Amino acid sequence: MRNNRKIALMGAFIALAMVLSYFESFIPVFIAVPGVKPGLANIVTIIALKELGLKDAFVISIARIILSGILFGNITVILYSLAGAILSILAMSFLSKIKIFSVTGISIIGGVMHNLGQVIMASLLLDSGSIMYYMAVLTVTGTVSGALVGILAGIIITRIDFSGKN
Amino acid sequence: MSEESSKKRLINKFDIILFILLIILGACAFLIIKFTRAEGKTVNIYSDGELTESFSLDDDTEYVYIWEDGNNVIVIENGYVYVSHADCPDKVCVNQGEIKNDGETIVCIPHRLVIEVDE
Repeated sequence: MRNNRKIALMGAFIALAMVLSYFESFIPVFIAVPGVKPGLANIVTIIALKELGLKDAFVISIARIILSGILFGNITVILYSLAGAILSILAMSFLSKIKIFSVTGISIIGGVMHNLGQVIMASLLLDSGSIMYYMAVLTVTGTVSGALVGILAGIIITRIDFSGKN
Repeated sequence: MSEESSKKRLINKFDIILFILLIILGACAFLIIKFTRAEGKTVNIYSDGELTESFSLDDDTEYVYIWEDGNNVIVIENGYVYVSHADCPDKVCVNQGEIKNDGETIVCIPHRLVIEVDE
C-alpha cells in the first residue's frame, strides 16, 4: 500500500474509532456491571489489524484512546482502555497468525481480553482482588459483543477494498 | 486475490465452539460465585486501596464518602448496602444496586472507592 494512502487511511480510521467510542458513551449502562460496553471502536481495530497489520492497528488504537480520553474522559479512563486494548490487540494479532478462527472468533477473544485487561488494571489501581469476580459476567458479555463486532468487521472487510487497487 | 476466500468466511465452526465454551465458562463461574457465597456481616469502605471505615450490615446507616471534590452516598438498609447518590460522571456505582453477600463489591473508579461486604 502506498505510504500517502496508508497515512490517510490511518487518519480516517482514528477519526472513525473516536466517533464510535463517543457514540458509545451515549448508550446507557444497561447492566449493573462496570465495563459492559459493545466496544464498537473494536470494529476499526479489527479492520486495521487485518488490512494494515499489528503495528498500525496498535498506533490507531492507542491514538484513539488517548485522544478520546483527553476529549471525553480522564486519566483513569485512558489507563483502563490502554490495558484492555494492549492485551486485546496482542491476543487478536496472535490468533490472526495461527489461522484457526475466522474474524468472528478473533473478535470474541479480543472482546474478552479487553475486559480482562480492564479488570486487571482495576485490581491494580484499587488494590482489590475481589474485582476479579466481575470477570465471570464480563466473559459472557465480552463474548457476545465480541461476536457482533467481529461479524460487523468481517462484513465491512468483504465489502470494502481498502487496498485501493480497484 | 488469494485471500478472497478466507475473507468471505465470517464464521467457522471453531468460532462457534469458542463462543459456546466462553458463554458456558462465564455462566458457570458466575453461578458458582453467586451460590457459594454466604451472607456478609460487615461493610468495609476502601479509599484508594486503604480501609477507612467499617460498618455492620445489621445497623441501618448512611455514610457520605468524600474523595477530592466528589462524593458518594453509601446507604446500609435492611441488611443490604448500596450507593444511593454519587457525583461521579458514569454512575456505575449507583447502577450496581444492592449487595449483601460475602466478597461482593461496589466500585466507584473515579473516586477510587471500593465497598466490600465481608464476613
